[in-house]
Amino acid sequence: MQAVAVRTLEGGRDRELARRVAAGDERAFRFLFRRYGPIAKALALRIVRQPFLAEEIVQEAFLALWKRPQAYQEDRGSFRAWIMATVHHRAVDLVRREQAHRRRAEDLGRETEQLADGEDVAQAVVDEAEMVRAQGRVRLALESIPAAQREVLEQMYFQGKSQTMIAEEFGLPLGTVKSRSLLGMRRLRSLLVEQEP
Amino acid sequence: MRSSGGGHEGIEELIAAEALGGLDTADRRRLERELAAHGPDCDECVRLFSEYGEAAADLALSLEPVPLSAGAEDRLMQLAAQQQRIPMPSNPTRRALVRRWVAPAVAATLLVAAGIGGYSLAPRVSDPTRVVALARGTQTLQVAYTPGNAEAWVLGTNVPKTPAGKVYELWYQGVDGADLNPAGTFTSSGGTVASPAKVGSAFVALAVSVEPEGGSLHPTTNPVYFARI
Repeated sequence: MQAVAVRTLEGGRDRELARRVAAGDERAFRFLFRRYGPIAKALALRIVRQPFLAEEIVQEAFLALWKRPQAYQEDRGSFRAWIMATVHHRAVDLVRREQAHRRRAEDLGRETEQLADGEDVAQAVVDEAEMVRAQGRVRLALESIPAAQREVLEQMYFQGKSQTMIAEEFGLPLGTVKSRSLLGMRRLRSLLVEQEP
Repeated sequence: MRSSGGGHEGIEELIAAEALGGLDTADRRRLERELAAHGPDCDECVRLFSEYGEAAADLALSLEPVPLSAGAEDRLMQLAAQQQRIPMPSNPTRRALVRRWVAPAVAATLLVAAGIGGYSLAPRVSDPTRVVALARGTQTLQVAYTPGNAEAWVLGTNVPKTPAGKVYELWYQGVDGADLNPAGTFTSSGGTVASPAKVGSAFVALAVSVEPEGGSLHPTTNPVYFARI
């Protein structure tokens, strides 16, 4: 397994686009935003549950790239991993800081979820075959992970919960949560690499 | 390229959880100590961060993409045009490379502690977005901002329709007892609102009033939304 996985052809294209962004190429910047904005918004929305906040987080992440393009280093991994990590951390930080805000948002959550679920145009946005294949690859990998491990991964990544919070909520020993998260991540990493084209 | 020679089983568990954003404060400190012990040039640590980072990011692909709102791209480009870009260094060091990748997400990351030669974990957020809810009965309007940064966004749902010939105007109060300063106007057609605003670098209260079209220099009506920070 290579230290830096070159996941797909899109990785090479993204790196080239990121280089152009670093050189001030607005078209490349727009392209990356169009390419990853919708999936980044889906991630942020899953965590913060408010469409406007989700989009704001995505915009901030891309603005940070524009302002300081050296924040992404291509030899450390894919652009996709970098932008998703940026969005994820911003979203998780927001919900953890604003607990009261989140409780209010829960009331709006159902409405938000319905909005997201009803938008069949999403597939049209994912207009590149590589992205579609990547989605299938990840979903398949997730389905292959034992349910108890998958639950822990999803609670952490999509709900922004810490291991302690999960242990308390599910009545599990903290050690169990930790071991499930490690085993689940090992399995996920292994499956995703195995499925590399 | 080198490995620290230390075992990585313990740190792997921490790095995997960190990639998912699931570490508590105590465990993040533990990770920081472990990273310091391994040193900034430990290839195995870099590899683990990279691989678990990729795996975690791939989880997002299991979601259905959500279309960006109309005009989002243009708004982004307008904001980008106002940014002062930080030039790329000509020859980044390995430590700097590690820091940039592993601190990718503005957070959850490794920062090389200046002068002491080891890793330290960055605060989770370096430019935290804050959200203030301005109450009006059961409705809320929210203002998202970053402390020290004048840029802000007004966000809301079910915001009553703006009366004809009027606008909503956001105000901020820099310090207690000071006059309210204008922060921008916006309108609502009776549904959602997402509008940029400019607030002071610091403020103690926010308010929204209904003003004549074009906005006012000072509020001319009582606030319909209000929040004290």
